Amino acid sequence: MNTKPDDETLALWLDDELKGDAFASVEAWAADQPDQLAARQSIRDWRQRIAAVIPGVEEPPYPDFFNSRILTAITDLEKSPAGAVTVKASWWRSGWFMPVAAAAGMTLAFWVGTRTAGSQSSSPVVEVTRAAPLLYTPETGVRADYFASRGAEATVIVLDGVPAISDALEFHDTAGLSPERDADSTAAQAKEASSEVAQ
Amino acid sequence: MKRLSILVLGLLLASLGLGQEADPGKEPVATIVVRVIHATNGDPSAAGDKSKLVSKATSERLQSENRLRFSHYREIGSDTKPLYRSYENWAQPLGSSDEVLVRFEAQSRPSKSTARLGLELWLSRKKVLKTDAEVSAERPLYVLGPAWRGGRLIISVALASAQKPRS
Repeated sequence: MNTKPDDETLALWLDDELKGDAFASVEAWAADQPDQLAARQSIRDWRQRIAAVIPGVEEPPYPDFFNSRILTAITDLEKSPAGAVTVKASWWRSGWFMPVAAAAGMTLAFWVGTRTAGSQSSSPVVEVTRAAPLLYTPETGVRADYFASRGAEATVIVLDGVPAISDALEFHDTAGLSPERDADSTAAQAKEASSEVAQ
Repeated sequence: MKRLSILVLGLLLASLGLGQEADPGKEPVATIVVRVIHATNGDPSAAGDKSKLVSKATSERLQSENRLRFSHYREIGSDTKPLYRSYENWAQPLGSSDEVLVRFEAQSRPSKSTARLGLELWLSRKKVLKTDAEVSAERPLYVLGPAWRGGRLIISVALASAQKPRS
């Protein structure tokens, strides 16, 4: 057989895991494949180096002590009468105490919850002391500048690049109209408004 | 059958009442006032017949800042809305027009005099600014906004001075 084996068969051959006719077939193919032969030899050398460093079998530490502990445990188990292994439970683990304690705990938690649900002073007060506000302008071309004005005694944000509002828009006239009216619809005036940019 | 109906109705009303009590996030913790001012160096009547002069104090305050200095200021709309403990709210200062909208929410529990807000300014149904400014009744936030009729719109956001926020 001179056809190239599939990857899985070749991998088994490289690891010396191939047997029988399959091994013979791949071996015949690899006879004129120096790269594959070199690769298999490299894997064999590596395996030998690893085997020289790591022992194949290692005894457990203190085997005598390990076996004696097991023998002692078996002997104690054989000596003890059947049913004597049950340990007397502590009083707080007895049958009646645990349910009563759980019920008392739930009652206490419920009572504390009812006392604190409407409490305003219990919620933490987070004082944000940062003076300068964060500014974010999602629209392209819009810029925002912040400054604290001493003269105006105010926080001032100046927007630049926002489209002007159409001069045709009458705010007081539109205040009483339904949103369906043309005068209140800004969508139709978007083109006009976007052509005028704030100074 | 009638007793059963009454019982079911009673339980429903009781559950509604309990539900309202169980949502402290809807409690108003302050009141926010949003005003829209038309500032111009031209003809102030361009703001419309129903616009009104701003107070002298506000006018002086605005004119004392170079970037906000104009010859005339006219208020063309305002809205007063509660600031909820954990819910957002919207101010629509120009009546039913959605040309200028302000979304706000508390970012911390307001003190007696100030509140830090999460703020969004929407112009022409688009969000153009998001910020987290601190405002008070004495120290408002002014946003110099879009141009309109030869001037600029100034959006003012402040705590209501008449009502003390609940601490």
